[in-house]
Amino acid sequence: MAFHLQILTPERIVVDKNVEYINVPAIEGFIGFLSNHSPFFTELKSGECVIKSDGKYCHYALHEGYISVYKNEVVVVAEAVEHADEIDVERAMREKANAERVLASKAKGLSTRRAQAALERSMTRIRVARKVSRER
Amino acid sequence: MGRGKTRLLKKKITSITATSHITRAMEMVARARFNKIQKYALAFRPYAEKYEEMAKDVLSDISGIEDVLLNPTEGKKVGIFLITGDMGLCGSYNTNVVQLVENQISKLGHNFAGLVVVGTKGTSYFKYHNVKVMKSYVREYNYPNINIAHAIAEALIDIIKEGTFDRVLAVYTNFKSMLANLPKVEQFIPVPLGKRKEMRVWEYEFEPSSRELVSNFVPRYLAVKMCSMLYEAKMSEFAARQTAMRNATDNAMKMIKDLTLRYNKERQAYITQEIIEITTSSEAINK
Repeated sequence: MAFHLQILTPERIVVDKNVEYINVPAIEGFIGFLSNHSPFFTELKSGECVIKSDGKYCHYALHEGYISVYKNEVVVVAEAVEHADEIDVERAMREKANAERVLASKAKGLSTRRAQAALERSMTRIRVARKVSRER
Repeated sequence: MGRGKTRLLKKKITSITATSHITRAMEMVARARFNKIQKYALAFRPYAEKYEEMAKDVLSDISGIEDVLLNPTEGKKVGIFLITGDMGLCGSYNTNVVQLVENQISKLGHNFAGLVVVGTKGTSYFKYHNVKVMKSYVREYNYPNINIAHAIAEALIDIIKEGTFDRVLAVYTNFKSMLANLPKVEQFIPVPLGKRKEMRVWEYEFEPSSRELVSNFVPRYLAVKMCSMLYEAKMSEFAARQTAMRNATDNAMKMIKDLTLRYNKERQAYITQEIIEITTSSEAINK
């Protein structure tokens, strides 16, 4: 049994196909959806997103967004989504170091929030990329 | 009459030709940038549409939720957010926006509370005319993106939360066609609530509760809307510049044609006159 999944970011449509299963990093923990799920809506944080289509699993790093499930139509909007193979681990490491430096300097307000988000994103990227490369 | 006049005309023709080269180059730059931004804007559109749909679901039942971004207050203090360009030479693009804002300000009267401006042109105009500019974003020469939109939307939300504004109107140019785009006024905050035809919200399971969701959802939704507005405005700006520069080039060409005609006539007249002078003087000698 499959359902239709769309994953969108401001830059592109990442996924637009029928899938069998999706697992997303919801704000209160990971949630998986199979087809014929009841209508559902929640906020997503930065984390790993797993999709199963044609019996194969795909791993994505997904950052901040929303998921809406309605009658076998699943829509995910997120600020950024990267396929595990697209992730540049070195760059993520650099971003992580940058964010940590900003947080250590104890700047206030907006920049702290930004740095926090950047730190979470970079950590997600590193985690997803490492996990996939280990599985191979 | 004589050499002086033809030389003057020649000089004029050279200078106008040089100007036409510049305007043509600027037209091509504007066209290239327009094409690029259109690509980004088109990629952004499905994302914005999905957000819009989700907003209808999430915000269709907000009874019991007190949020300054959602609940229409009396609207005593109205702020205006406007988008202009950072550069001129784009016809009436900037003046149209500024004019519309001026109209809105005079319509609001005492209820007008201040401006938040994107673009050097709007900022300098309103600063010069002593209108209260709360915040301005200038020299954003890069293409708009969601991060800039987030920053601007957050700044507006902060101003609302401080209580300086109760309501924010957005004035920007919506892109309709290459030829002429007119600016429009839109209610930005509180979020105007649209109704979905089929009320499917009752069936939804929200996690966390819809109340907590809404407080996070609205700022993000506003940032997405902000980003769409920035794209629309930038597309209109480049379209306007392209049209303005094409007109300028066409006008230059017409002037060159007219001047060349006049130059040739002058030259002819000068030669004819010279021949007459020579023949009359030689006849005078022969007599």
